[in-house]
Amino acid sequence: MVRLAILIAIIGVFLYIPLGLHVLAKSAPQADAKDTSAIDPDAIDAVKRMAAYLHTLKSYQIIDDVTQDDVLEDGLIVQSTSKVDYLLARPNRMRIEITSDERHRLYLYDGKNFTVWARLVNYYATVPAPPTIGELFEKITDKYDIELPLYDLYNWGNKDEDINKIKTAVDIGPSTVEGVTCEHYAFHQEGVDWQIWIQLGEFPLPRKLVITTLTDDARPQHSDTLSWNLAPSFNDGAFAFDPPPDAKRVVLEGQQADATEKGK
Amino acid sequence: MKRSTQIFAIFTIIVLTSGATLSAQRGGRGGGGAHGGGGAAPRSSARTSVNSAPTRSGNQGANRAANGNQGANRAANGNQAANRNVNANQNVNRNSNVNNNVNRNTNVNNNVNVNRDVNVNVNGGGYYGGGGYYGGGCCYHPVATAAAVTAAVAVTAAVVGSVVNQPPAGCATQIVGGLAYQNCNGTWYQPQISGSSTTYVVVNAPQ
Repeated sequence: MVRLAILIAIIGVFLYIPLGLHVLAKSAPQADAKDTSAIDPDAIDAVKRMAAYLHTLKSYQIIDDVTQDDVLEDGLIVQSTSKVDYLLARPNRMRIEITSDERHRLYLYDGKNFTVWARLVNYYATVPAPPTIGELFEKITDKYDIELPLYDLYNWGNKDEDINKIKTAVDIGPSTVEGVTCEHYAFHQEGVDWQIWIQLGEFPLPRKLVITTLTDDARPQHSDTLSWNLAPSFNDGAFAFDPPPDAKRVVLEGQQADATEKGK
Repeated sequence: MKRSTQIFAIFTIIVLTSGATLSAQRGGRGGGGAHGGGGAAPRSSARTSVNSAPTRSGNQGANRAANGNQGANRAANGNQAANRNVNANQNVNRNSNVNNNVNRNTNVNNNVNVNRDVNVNVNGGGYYGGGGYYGGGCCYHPVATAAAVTAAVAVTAAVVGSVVNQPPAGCATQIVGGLAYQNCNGTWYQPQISGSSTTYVVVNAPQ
């Protein structure tokens, strides 16, 4: 009996050590910790610096490899992947192409109209759009329930209150993403934990983002792994929609049918 | 000596177990979670942004309602199975929430089987459509099913405002006022891009 107990204890120790003492040592912030000492000001500054840098970029292209968890009714997590090709030119042009197993979507914004093309069913919808990308994000999300990818990227740092929502901020340390050396930070705020990998050096670009949703016990995650092109070549045609021969026009849910511009 | 060793062992196990759990929770580098198939619509999805308000919450509520209905479906199917066993009849309760089906059939082949369900369910097969996101149980088609019931019992037509993930088979695409519609034997479905999927809403015949 004594031997058995000792044996179990020893096995336990060996199982445990490789599981990551050092992770434990970093301490687990309480989910509702409000202690400001849980905020590492360097981590906050890193996000601010990244946001300020992103605002200086006039145009860029990103290839985003996305993973997205859905939680089934019984709590099982199902992960899906997609690829986003994202071209943005301030202040009022954007092209987003999303490819996944389930769908192939193209979003186009030329400063006047916003078009969605669902390629697999070959339907498209065009609605009048606000004059800037920032307003477009808000309108499309609010009115049409379409979540454009990389909302955070464009909007980071626009509102101080977003930064103020952070309750825990930790600098995890250096980490490599796709061969690029980054600094890895972890944050907690109401409803989400999120982690970001910011490129070290004079171009503080986000290279990876992981968002963990806390409002479901299963804690589903979303991740973006970003490849950047800061000197994309494009012309106006990149943002204009020229319907393919058999494409048929439909409405966006939430769009008043009589508000559509007819007969385009 | 013996007892203290036992206590030590137990203590060690407790500490290690809780520690392992904690590091599993927080050691997020691996992340993810168990994969698995399943025949149900998701109850939730990971948020895709840190700062954008999660606008889907309303729809998630709708989804949950839809799932609730699915539960009801399963219950109904349970009845179906029972019926089949007893009566060996094919009463196709394929759909629908809380059928008032009074299967008061006594003995073989003498079944009444009313099935007078209208089944509006504007929430439709749920937000995650696109024609069966996770195979199996997701995305049933209330209107289509109502139509099937109609064929058998001749009670209802598709209800204007109903939303389905796909129109029934055998529809013709027609363009009215520059917009596409599906004309399904006189029932008109208007395709719409709905969040990240495409759905079809039953409308009155377009002018």
